[in-house]
Amino acid sequence: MRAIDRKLLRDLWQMKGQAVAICLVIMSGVALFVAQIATLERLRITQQEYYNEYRFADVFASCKRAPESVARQILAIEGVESVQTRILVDATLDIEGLDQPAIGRLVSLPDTGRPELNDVHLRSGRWPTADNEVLANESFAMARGYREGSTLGALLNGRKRTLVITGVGLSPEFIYSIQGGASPLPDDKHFGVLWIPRKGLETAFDMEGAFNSVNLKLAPGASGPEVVRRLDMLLDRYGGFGTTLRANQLSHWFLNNELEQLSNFGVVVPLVFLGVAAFLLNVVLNRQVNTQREQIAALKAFGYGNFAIGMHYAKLIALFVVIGTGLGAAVGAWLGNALVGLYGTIYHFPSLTFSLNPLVPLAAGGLSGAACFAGTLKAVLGAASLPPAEAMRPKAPPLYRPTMLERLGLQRMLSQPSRMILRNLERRPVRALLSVSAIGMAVAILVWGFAFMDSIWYVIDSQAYDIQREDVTVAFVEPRPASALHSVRAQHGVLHAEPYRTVAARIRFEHRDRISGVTGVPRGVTLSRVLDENLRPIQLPADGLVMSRWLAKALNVRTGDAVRLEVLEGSRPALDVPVVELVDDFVGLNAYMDLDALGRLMGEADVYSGAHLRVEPALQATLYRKLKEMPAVAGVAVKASSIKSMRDQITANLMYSVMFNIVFACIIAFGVVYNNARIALGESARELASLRVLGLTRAEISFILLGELAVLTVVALPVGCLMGWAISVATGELLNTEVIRLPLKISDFSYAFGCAVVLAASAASALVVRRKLDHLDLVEVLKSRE
Amino acid sequence: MKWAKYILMAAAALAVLAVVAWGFMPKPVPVDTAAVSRGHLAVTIDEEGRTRVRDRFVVYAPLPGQMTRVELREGDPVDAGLVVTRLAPMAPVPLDARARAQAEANVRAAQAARDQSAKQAESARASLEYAENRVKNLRELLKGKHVPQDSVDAAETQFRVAEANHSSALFAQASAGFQLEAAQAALVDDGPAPAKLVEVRSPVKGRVLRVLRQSEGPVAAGEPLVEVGDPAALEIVADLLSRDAVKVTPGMKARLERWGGQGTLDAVVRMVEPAGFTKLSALGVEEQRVNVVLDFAGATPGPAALGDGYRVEVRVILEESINVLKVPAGAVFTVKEGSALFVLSGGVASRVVVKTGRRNGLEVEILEGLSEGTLVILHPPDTVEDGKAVIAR
Repeated sequence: MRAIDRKLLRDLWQMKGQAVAICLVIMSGVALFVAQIATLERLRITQQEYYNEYRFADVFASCKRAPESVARQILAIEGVESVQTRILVDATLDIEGLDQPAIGRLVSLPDTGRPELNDVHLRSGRWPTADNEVLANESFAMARGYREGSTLGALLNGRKRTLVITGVGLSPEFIYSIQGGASPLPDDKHFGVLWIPRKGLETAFDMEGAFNSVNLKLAPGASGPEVVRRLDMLLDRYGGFGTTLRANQLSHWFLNNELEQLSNFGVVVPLVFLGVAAFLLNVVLNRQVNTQREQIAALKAFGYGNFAIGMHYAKLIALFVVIGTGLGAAVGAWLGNALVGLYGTIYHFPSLTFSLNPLVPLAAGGLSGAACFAGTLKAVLGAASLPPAEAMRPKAPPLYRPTMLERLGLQRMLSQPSRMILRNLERRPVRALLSVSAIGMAVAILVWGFAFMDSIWYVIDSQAYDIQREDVTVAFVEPRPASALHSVRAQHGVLHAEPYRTVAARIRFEHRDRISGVTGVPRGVTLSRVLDENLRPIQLPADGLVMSRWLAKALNVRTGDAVRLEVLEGSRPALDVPVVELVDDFVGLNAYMDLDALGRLMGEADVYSGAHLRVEPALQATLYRKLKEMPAVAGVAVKASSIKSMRDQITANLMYSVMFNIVFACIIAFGVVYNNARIALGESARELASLRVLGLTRAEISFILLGELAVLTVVALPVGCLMGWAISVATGELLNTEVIRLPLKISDFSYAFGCAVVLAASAASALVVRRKLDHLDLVEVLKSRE
Repeated sequence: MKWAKYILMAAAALAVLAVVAWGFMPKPVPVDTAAVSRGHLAVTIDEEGRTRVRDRFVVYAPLPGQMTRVELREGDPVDAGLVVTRLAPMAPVPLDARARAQAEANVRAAQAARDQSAKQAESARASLEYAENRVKNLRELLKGKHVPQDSVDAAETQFRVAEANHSSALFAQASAGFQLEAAQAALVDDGPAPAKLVEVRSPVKGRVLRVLRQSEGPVAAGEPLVEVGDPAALEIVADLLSRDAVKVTPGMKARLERWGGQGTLDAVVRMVEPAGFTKLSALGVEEQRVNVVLDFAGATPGPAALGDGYRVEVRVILEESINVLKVPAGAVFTVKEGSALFVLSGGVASRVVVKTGRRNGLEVEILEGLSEGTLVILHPPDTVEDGKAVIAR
């Protein structure tokens, strides 16, 4: 081993504390990168294989009722490769031991065997053959503990039927199994997909020789939008509810959105971590080069060239990178395994396993190496090009001047050590600034990690307590006259009922359009209200539309513009309606209208789609039993259960991944603060030793060093909070989609937590530094420079 | 100087810690509030109802016949005795080919019968003339006692027989003539309108509510033609669930809402029908319902804009008082002790058990436990509990 390499190991040992901290930071970044990118890759591949093998459709359309002969016309549309018609209905399920009604999405299986598109993977059991036999989707079957032979009651078109489960299945159409509507989270206890032979649905829903749902596979190179346009035209007379491309299919959208978030955060978060690591390395290396000027000079005198010196320091960095990446890859693989397992519980694939593509840790190594070398390039080049003669000379002492405070004549208020602290800071403002931003970064990363959680809780709480104040929402099968509302109101246990009307419509503006529900809100509403961003109720105008800001953005509409409202039900009127106001709501793309105004538009009066209820808790069970039996009730959503399941799920899923971010953020915070303290100690060890020789006590020199650190830390806290806010704002936009928006609401707790972790790290570091100062070997320190 | 420095340092450290600690402190939960107020509270039963004309007269066709066009339109004023329409006897039914052939054959048969009877009459007259001559001759001979009395008597008898036969044949001839006419009449299928018309009149003064038969044409006896009534004399009928109807008694006040015009209208329950009926509700379940009939309150019989069979929302007021202590219903929740709510006092939510009285869907009467002006928390979120810091939004 060459002497210079021995020096490398010795140097590393000397700064072992810092080395551990830096390696841990690199490890954190690499681990997150490896875990998330490897998971992303696995999910993408699994998704693609699943889609191909089970023939996931490209186009999805539904209508009221179309004769089977239309299928041939659809197949004739240019670009359509295959067509699968089917019957798809939602039915109220009556499950033993569950008061609350559940919703079953009944999907017909063709009489001729397996579905041509959106095939079902049979996990266990056998295919249903009789009219009353069904396959249940896996998440529902698991949540309810169903096995082959289990039975459940269903209200099919007003008639009660008993369905027998013959097996458990999975379909690419329901990888993410949600009902759609208000809640973007699955509720597997109360929503399930049931595949049933077509003739079972045909007779129950009077759909002999007809279909209400059709899926298409497009030929390669076919124009999706053109097929959608033609299909919409074709289905219009059969009460078409609009056509969506695969990109907007519910399950696919959620999975893709998740993958997109994963790819965003799988890169952004590790980059932030690696950036911090690069910064730390930069500081460490600069200091190393400065203190080893004579050694560099001596080495150069012994014949080591500039390149060899540069390589020496580069090797030091490479060591950090290799150790950090190695650890990171191992932790990342473990984490990725857990993450894939977690995804498997939310997104349902026939099989989803973790495997680590070796390219991923290699890419992580390359990324961390690039970041670290980029961060330290200047220091390495500086060391390499240091002229030996100049290197022999100690660095010129910096110019000390009275500080601002002193020039203002306030020195009398400050002791000598205090003045030294201030002069130290003012002497090297760049270094002070870097320290402040480094410590601030530690605060910021923690604040950022918590900001995401804060936003989610804010949305859930606002949605649950301010926007939806009802206990139960009852949806009618078809729009019903006002007497239905009175009937609901008259049920035992109902304290108060308020109607609503939703109309499926395509909202068009210029060349953009979106399918959205238009909700009619009665005047004087107290339960399900439309709120502004400060959660204050909005008075709906007597005419015109109020819409989500995101819908307006998607359509490029401003208030005052008139949009075309093409209603997709009833007599399908199409009208121009002005957009009067925009609201910042959280979930979905919505449009709201005064109930009476919507009624006038539809040419109907006092017709409701359902009602929001406040109920007497003690009478809930009997009320649910009654509602379940009502043929005209399509669904009953209970808020308490949806909030509860939402909270459970978020704590289960998000907390898990966010917790890792927070653990890693804590590692960074400690790494930064500890490094900063150690470097400050290293840089001023000689001066402090000299002061000791001059007669200052241990307490006094500790005060000078730790006081400086304390000032930097205290300044860094608010700066860090500000930085945390700024990062959250910058990345917050990434989280907002057409399905859910998370407004930035950072709680005081998050700021306080960030500050507290950094303060604790600072205190711990201060203790270490203090111990080092107490054991300062005066002779050794003072000697080393000569 | 030194102690001052330490105190300063300690103070600075404390200040930083305090700020951080403050961040960790639970923050007051933002809540919506409302003040306990004193005012009007009504407990109501709400149901969809419709207006109807109190006395309704249907004009029926008194007999089958051909009706002239009803020139009245819905809304036209009518007086008692005004002719609504006129009924004429039916025109003959057109003959199909078989009936016509039959009828024609009948005519020809009748013609033949008439001819036959004419000939018979001729024969009878000839017999009569002979009998008459014979009687005349025998009488001449009797004068000369050439024949016995008996021969004359016999001849006279024969004469009378012949005379009777002759008249009979004449009658038969006339009858055959009439039968021919009858057979010919059966062939007639269009002819001039008969002159005699039956007038159908309105029984009362009022307005035409509905014209059930507008056009001219044949009607059957008992067919409804026109509905007449006084649309200003309206009543409201609403079918209440039988268990709600038992709480309603005649004389109760009610309000009519969502009738299309401004504001609400007042009404009074006149009658709860004694018999209920089963009705399939809009939710698809069978319910027992009872018709409750209401009158518009006051002298005015209801706004002119309302007519027969218009939709209104009826709110029958079971109890009403204008001065009760009340809170919005969203503030009250059920607890073991009865009802409770959260009061906002000094930035803290405190749970107060109250005694509640009347309640409708929106407001609850407070009998005990609160005073006017107290701020209560509306729809308290799960995060609010007794003693928890809250802040009014």
